[in-house]
Amino acid sequence: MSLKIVCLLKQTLPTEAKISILDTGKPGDARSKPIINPYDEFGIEEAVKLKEAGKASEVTLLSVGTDKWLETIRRGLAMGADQAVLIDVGSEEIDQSQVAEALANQLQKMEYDLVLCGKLAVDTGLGEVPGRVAARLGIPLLHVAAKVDVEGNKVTVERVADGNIVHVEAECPVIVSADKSLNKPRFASLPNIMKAKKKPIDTVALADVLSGAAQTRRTVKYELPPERGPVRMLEGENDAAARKLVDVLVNEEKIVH
Amino acid sequence: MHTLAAAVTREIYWNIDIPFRGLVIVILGLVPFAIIAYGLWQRWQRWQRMGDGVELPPRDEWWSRTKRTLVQVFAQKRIRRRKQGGYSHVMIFWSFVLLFIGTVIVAIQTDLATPLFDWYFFDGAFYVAYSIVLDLAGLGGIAACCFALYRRYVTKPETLTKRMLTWTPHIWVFLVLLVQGFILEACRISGTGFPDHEVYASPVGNVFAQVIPTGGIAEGLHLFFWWFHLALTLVWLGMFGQTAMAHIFTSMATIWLAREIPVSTPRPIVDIEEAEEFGVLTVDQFINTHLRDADACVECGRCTDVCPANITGKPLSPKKIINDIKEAWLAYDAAGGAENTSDEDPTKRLVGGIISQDELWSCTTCGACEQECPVMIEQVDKIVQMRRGLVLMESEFPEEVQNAFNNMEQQGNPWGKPPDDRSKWIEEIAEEEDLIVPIWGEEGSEDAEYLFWVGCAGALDARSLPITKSVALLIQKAGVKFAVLGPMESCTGDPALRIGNEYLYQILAQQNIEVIKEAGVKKIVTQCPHCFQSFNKDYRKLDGSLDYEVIHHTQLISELLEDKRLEGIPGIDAKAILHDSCYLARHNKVTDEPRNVAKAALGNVAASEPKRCGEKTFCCGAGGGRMWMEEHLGDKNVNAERAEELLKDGADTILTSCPFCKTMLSDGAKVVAGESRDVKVMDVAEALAQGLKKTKTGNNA
Repeated sequence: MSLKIVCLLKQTLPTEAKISILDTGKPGDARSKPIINPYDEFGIEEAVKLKEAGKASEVTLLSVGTDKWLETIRRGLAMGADQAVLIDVGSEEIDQSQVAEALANQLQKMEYDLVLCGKLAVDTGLGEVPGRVAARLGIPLLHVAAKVDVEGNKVTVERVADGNIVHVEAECPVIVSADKSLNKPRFASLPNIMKAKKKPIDTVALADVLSGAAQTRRTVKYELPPERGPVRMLEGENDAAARKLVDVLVNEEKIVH
Repeated sequence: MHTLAAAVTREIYWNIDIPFRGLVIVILGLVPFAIIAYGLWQRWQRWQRMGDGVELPPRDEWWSRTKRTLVQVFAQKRIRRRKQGGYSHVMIFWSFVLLFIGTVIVAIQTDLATPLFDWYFFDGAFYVAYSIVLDLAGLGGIAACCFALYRRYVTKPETLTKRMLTWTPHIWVFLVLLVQGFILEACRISGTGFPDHEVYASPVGNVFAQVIPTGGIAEGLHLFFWWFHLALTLVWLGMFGQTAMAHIFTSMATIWLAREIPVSTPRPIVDIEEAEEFGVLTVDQFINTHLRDADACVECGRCTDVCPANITGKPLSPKKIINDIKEAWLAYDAAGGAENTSDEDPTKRLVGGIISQDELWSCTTCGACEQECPVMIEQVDKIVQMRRGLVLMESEFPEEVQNAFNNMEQQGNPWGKPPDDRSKWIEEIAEEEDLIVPIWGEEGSEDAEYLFWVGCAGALDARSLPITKSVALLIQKAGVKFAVLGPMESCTGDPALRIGNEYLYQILAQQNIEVIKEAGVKKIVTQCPHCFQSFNKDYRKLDGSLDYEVIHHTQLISELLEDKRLEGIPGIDAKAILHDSCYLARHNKVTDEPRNVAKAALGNVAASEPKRCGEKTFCCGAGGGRMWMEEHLGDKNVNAERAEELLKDGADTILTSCPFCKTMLSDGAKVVAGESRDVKVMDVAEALAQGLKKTKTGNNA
């Protein structure tokens, strides 16, 4: 049997972005170009590989975001996904619980056997969504997968635990979250980038998939960690430099007492 | 007097007694030319089958192209760039040309002047000059042929030995013809009783004549050699259209049709959004120019001789690439072209087939090969086209390049530093030097004459920051009003373009072009030669409407020095040697200005120079996106090879004019000189700014 795969995709800032608190009070970097959350990208790569191996018939991307995400979604399509669905939140602010709710509701309207996503998003670092979606759909979650095997209706993943590798399997429908050792995402070829521009992206209004679920948490404030001081080089031969170092650590920086 | 002058001649066709001899010989002589014409016509047909056929340049360029071709043909400018092979080629060429003209003059006398006008000019001073010139041409030709054979059989330079079969027979034939010529002349002199004037008119033939008995033996020998000489000449000439000798015609055509060399800017992909195929993977994807000029390759190997990748033991040989393309196309054509070949054919599939990825990734796009090529073949553009095939069609490239691509795309610089970091040096220089650098369009930039394009290295790389600060310091000191774009600046796309990611390059380029246009910039000064190349050449190929002026910082500083706007800067104390950047010196021909700045920095003392300098400079190893690739092939790294050359005479300072050269050579110098020897590598602007700082501390004290 050939699976229908849905990949969850979140747009994040590049990992190298310089985060500052923007005028909106939220963290961001207006000058960097956003990317697909790298862990979600592992999920998309795995889905496309399954399709190429003949084990999947269709790969659909699913996002909860805004129309500013379209370019990023196209990148996922350029990697080889067939189509995408964007749940447009507009200017609304929702938390992970609501995101999961919206995703689950939309998934129920779609055909899927396997949901692939990242184990977390690099911007929040929370990793709530896979579990929440699985719970709402009532399907198994194979979390933090380092390797995915599909045999017919059965999905087996390997997860690297502390000093051992755990093999876990489940029957479809199932949700699998990707760890970074899962694969190396491809660099889309230009013909595929061009093709992706013509692939369909359906937009769904948030209200259609999120009725009444209230926000249960509120972010109070964002702030930047204290800035790191400059590096100091201590001059002198080994012995003298070591003495200086002790002096700095004990008397100046008061790190060692 | 008249009789004396009339006696100073020779009887044309002496001893050759056949009916209608003048006519017969001219008709015989025309046969090989007909065969040559047929060969060239076939070649032209072949060229027309390549790509979209030969595209003629616009008419207004025809005369300048003709001049360029004549200079290369008659002055042999590029050929003479090599001493041994170059000058022997010049001598063989001129020997051939003069003797050919000599033969034509004889034909004019016997077949036109005498029968039609009863005019005999082949005597007196004209005959003496004619005869002396031809004797010398023959002698020079013999010497050059002997030298050429000596190189092929005795000294055997590496690039020549592989071409033995192609060229050696032709050298032998020409040598035999020349020696025979003198034997003929000697037989005639002896046979006609040693005329007095031949002692000075035919000095060489006259010496030969001393050993030839007069009378019947001279006549017999003459008759035999005359016919043999004629037959061999006709047969050899007849082969000119088909053999290696066709280079006479193909190289002229190629030089006439060639673009500006070194080509510098790979041909842009036009309408990239609409295209379906990008770059080259199979031989039929090459455009006409790239197939046609490969077809004109004479396999002299000069490209490979100067290739930094080849010299340091990498798998790249530009000559091999050109010949692979030539042979693959001939096989493709012989197999019947597109209809009868599949993309999987091992010869048709070039990249990853007969041309390996390692060869293509070894290129630094330094342009040395194109500059050396006597027939102006575009080696670098072909390599970039094939890189495009790999990158754009197959997503194949050295692993580490993906980071550079992602960083350029997401952060606007290959290092992946946040764009806001581009302002850091501005804050630093304000603190360190009390120098306020305004941002274009913001306060303080109102009267800015120049946009100072700092570049990614210049704004973000620790080793390049001092160059940027030095340039700012110097031009501010000279009273130049300038502003920078700060975080609005983005990578020019040079690495993306030359690695083969034309898509990313065009995105970055369009973005910058838009910023420049919107800001209304009229004059740009760049810190980096690669940015200079982008603005000066690459962008203009994308957008013909760009009308800004752009110069490199060495050009601006040199001008300021000349205008005495930077005066009284004491020289620094250094035993300095100058390294030219490929993208400044070779691709943009800026060579004097870095020297002027260096001289000023060294207290009016010129920096020493390595053998490979100026337009003939040797790459640091960073060009063509190599800065962003590991160098794991070859016997040594390109930067080590260059540093070795720069440091072998005991220099303690290497002066550069490119941030990438500075980085590469700093690393190279560490490898070559070791930790014990203190070698400073700095930009010429840094060197001059050091002197400037000396005056400041002096004043403060």
